[in-house]
Amino acid sequence: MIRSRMIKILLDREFRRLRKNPSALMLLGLLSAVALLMATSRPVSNNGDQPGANGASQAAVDVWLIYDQRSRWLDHLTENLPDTPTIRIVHRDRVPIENGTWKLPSRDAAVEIVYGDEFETSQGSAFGKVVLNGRYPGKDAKVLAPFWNWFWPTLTEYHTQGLRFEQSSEPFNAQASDVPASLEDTSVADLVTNELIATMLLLIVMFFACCHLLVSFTAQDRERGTLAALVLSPAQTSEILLAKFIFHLLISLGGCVSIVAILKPIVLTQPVLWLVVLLTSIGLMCVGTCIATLAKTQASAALLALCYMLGGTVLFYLSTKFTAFHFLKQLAFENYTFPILFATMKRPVNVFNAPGLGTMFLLVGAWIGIARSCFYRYGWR
Amino acid sequence: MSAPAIEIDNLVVRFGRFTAVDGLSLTVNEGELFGFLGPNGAGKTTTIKVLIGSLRPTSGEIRVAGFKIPTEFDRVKQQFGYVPDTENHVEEFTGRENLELFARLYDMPPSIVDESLAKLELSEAADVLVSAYSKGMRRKLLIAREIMHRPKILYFDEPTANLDAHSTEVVRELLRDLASQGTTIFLTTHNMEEVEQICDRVAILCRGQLVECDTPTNFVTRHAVRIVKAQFEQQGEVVRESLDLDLDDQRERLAEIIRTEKCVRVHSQEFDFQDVFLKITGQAYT
Repeated sequence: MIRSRMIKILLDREFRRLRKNPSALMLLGLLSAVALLMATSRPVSNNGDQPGANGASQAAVDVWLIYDQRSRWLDHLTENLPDTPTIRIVHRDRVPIENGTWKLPSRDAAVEIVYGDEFETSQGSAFGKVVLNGRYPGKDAKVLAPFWNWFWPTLTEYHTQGLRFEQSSEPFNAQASDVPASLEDTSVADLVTNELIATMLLLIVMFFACCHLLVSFTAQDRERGTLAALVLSPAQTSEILLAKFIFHLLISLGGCVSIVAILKPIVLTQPVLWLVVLLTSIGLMCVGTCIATLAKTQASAALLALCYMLGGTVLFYLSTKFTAFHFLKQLAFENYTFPILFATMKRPVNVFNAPGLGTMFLLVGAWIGIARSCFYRYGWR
Repeated sequence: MSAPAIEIDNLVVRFGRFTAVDGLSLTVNEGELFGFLGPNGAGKTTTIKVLIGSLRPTSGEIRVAGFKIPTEFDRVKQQFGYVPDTENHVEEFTGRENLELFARLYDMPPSIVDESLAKLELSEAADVLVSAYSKGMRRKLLIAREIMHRPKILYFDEPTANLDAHSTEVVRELLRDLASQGTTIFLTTHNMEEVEQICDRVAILCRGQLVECDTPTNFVTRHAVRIVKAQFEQQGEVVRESLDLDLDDQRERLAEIIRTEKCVRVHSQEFDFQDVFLKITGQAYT
């Protein structure tokens, strides 16, 4: 049975250790400072670069190529992006949205990819009809010309294979576009700061508090024998583990709350956001516990934690290139963290509609079992 | 006769093909100051690790304070204290903070901290960070921590390692006091003088097996060898000979030396517990 008195004593021990460890506190402070800096930085001004009659200034218009699902030809486009104009190929879910309309920088144009009916090619392969809905700022359709000048030649190979592209009936008329879009005076810097940076900072805080710090403190406890001293005291192993988890979870939640409060306070009340933060934090603590208990020394534990982070990044990259790795990616609970967090930053997400939340629950549950078993078996021995 | 505090029956601990402890059986009585000796690699630390529940035995039955180890570990761990051979303090804390943490865990009154610090003569350094302590001070702090909750059984691994002569005496006196109050003390040491001075009984382990278990006095009586060292001149050179007086021919040889040679020096050799230990473990000088 877990005794709250023991948890309180052990938590007090952890907080006193943290207080006497200025480097850990410094890093947490720096992360909050980064969030504060991003929140207070001024948006990039567009005033000095108005489109003119010549093609050079038209080429400066950025284009968002918005898709619903990845395809080989879209990958091909990604690999052959031009220097100008700047083209962002983004998933529909990642486009900032407000009041049901896309919120893009005021001088950016957008081309939405809509898949039409499937049809059979002469070779018998099934291809889809692709409709391209374009929209642009102002009334001059030519601002999209540099985009089309790159788009069509780059896809020549796919034309010969029978893929059929169609531009929408009035592709260059913003008023007639099917895309519910509004063009507002929002800079790219704003979008990145408030949503992407917030998500990235949350991930960094969670990794630092729940994996790196836990690995460091626990491995130090093991190496010095202080963990053995605690286990031999009246405190039970489960109480020691729980106190460690609560301590690191509090740091993680504290950091996340400050970052969200600074960068995107409107989403503070989103339950899905905190559910994902909670699950990811617990998952990372479990990973950290396994690393700390299996490593021989504090130094090797810290290196293993770094390897875990870098290994995960490599796995995610490989999964975008090779389907064999796609399955492995599905087994990582972190795979579901970023999309859900990013989505919650942009719009309210229902708990039941959050993609992958259930899988995340299962994966984190499995990690809890593994971490518990590791700690009981090897934790202090 | 007092009830056994520790009962070990046919304990076997194997690491792969290597047998660290091989069929060890012994009983330690309540309030006894028990020395557990053996050369390096004999299996002493492995046995202590099994006793404190940190290592699972391959086979055998262990009872500490009447509780089975490792199955009833959670019930028995409050009954013992363990002073390992390496210090395991929270380095960022002061000596007092370290003891306060454990006093709270054991639900002891805060006054016990000052009492324990005073017993080990650490009151003046109580508010200094442990990272600034000397090895001897760390050792004393560790002992203070482990006696604080008044355990029934105390495991000591090298109790007086790194201590100066005065602190060694303080700790030995403390051990005698604890034993007289009923605490069972199970200690391992390489200091044979200490064993002879403070232990009620001693078990000698060699290559994982129990060789003998008895009081230090009985050990010395049983294993003492009466050796006489003679130094004499023979054909202009100084010669030294060690002679065992328990052997007839060597007694006669001594008589002959005294009668015929010019003796420079004849003296008997002291035979203490260290000699017994070396003889039993097969490490005696030849």
